[in-house]
Amino acid sequence: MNNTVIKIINLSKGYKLYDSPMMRFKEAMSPFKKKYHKDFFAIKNLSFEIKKGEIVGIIGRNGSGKSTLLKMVTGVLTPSSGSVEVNGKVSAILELGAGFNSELTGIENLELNLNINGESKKNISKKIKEITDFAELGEYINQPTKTYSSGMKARLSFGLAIHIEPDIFIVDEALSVGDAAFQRKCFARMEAIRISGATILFVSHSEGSIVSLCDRAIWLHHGEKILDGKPKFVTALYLKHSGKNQISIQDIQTEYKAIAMSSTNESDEKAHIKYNDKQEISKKEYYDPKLVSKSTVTYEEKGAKISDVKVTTLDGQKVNVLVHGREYVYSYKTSITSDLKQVQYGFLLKTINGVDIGGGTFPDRNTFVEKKSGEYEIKWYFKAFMNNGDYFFNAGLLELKENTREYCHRIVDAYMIKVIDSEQQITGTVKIFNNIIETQL
Amino acid sequence: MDILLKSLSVVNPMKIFKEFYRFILHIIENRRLISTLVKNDFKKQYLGSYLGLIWVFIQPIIFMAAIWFVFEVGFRGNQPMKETPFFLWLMSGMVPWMFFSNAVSGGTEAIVHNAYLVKKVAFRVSILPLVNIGSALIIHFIFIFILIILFLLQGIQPTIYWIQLFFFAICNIFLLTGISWLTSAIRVFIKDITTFVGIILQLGFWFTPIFWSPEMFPPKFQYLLQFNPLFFIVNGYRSSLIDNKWFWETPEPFIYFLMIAFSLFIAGAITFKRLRPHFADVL
Repeated sequence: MNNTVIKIINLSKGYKLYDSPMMRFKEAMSPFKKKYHKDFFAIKNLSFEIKKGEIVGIIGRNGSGKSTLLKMVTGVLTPSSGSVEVNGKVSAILELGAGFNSELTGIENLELNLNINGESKKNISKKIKEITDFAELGEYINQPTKTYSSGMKARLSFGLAIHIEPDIFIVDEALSVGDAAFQRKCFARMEAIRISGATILFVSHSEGSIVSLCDRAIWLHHGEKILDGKPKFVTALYLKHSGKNQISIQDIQTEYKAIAMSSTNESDEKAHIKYNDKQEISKKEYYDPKLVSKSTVTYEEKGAKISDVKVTTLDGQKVNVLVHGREYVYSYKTSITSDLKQVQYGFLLKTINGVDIGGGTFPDRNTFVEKKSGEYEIKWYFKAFMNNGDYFFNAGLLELKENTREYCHRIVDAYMIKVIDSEQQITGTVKIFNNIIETQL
Repeated sequence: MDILLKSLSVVNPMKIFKEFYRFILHIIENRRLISTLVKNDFKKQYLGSYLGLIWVFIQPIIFMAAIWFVFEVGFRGNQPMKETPFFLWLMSGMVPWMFFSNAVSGGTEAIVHNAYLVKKVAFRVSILPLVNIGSALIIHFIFIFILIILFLLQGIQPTIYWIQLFFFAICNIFLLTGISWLTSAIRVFIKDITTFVGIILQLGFWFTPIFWSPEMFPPKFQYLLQFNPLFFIVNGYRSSLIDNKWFWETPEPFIYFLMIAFSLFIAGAITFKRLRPHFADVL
């Protein structure tokens, strides 16, 4: 059985730049296929396949061709060359309120769009009710959609898209405008769609949601595929290089391979550490030389270099296996090579899936201070309130330059720790309660 | 030479027949979508006005009353055309013309005005011009309804020939489909087509025997009328309502009409098909 649901072969989309619409018309009607244009490629020779049930995230800067790609998958745009094969019913949120006539009411727009999707008459009235309940727009459902806020449009679009019961669900940035409660509801729905076996294609600028939601990520840059692989590594490399204009695909792919190769052994290592766990009755923190981050990504140095990233006990002993609840020190050294006007230290702790747990800056989040060249060390004192598991520290020195924040130096996944011996009552990632008291009433 | 043959091979009769069949099938499959879009089109026009859909009736009634006043009360010098009052004779030519003119000017804008669908939803765009024809058809039926009441009020008995009205309406729709595909597709690229179509419609009104009888045309140039497809339709409405003639009694205009309408249909279909992939890029 073939479970490829989306097959893209040598796909290109050239936007032909014409001097006037008349030229375009002449070319389309010309029986001799004469050219009247200059080419600009939004998508260049792209090939990949997506299997049934995969959740694929697409990242890339503005204008990298993400939306063009999705529009071709949905069939709204016609490829210039190459092919897109799609097996199954596609439902897409390409834009807020896409396919809505702003003069019509919410209900009328739903009716129209369900009709376009070829639903039967009986289904339409049933689904309109379901979507209305889902979107929770109240009285507004009977108002023209031009009166809607962007959040309301998002609710209606999302409600419509999921109730079409798609095999392939395409979401382009639509979730970012909804409020937190609604976003939560949408993610829950997407999870349900995924469990039902549907394929999800997801575009986002927020690398966080790609990492937490997707099991594969594709990085597009100027219409070309730079990387295709594990979301955690792809987003890490994306963040590292995205500031640059010129990107060498080969360099990045070798960098990716290096990280991916070393981390494939991680699973073996985990087994090894688990085995060690059982001998851990001493309940004492220690340093395991095998427990080293394999996914470290080091940014380019711009006036500073971070080194010697480590976690120590209060008396200075270097450790990476931490006992839950005890206090430790996270520290790193910074050597500043040239005087920096406005800088700030930062660190971040993440789970193995790349989800942020917490971090800090010094001085405040919005304060930047001058630093003369020299050697510095920063220490962050923290209590290991995390649940059992592996965690990663980032270290960074941020500079404010003409109102944009840029890293002087940054190391992602710089230091790996393992937390052991947490209390059995803790669920999730972090302990948030002090005491548990049960009383009989 | 090769290229020329290739581009001509598009006009392969079997292929055209197949495409036509598929298109009809598609309309039947999507009849509910088309009716929803027609409904929306009406709502857009009349929503928010106090009289709402009543306007659909008021407009034609006032129009006819004005024509009646001008030609029956104002200038009374008009000769009744074969015992039918002049204003009824005029109306029976004007009603099909108005259907044609409304549908063409609406259909030309069909793609541009529905950009929200063309750009964002995967969708068979070729039905959009049909939606405008559908809206115009509903108004047309109301006009015919009022016209028939006026005929009855004048004491003219209905005849079996009246059912030909349906046939001529279908002929008109066939003609309109090709023309709207052609103009709506070109409209996406060239805005001027709207003005151009407006001028052609204005000229068309005076060059078609609506206000004047075809017999008034110089006999030497009578044959030129055959090349105007609207001549066949306008004349057809009159021969059904007034002259009591079947359309096959004079087959020549019908054959001319079929040839012209069919060529326009093919030209429209080919143009639309070629330009459609570019719509989402240009809009």
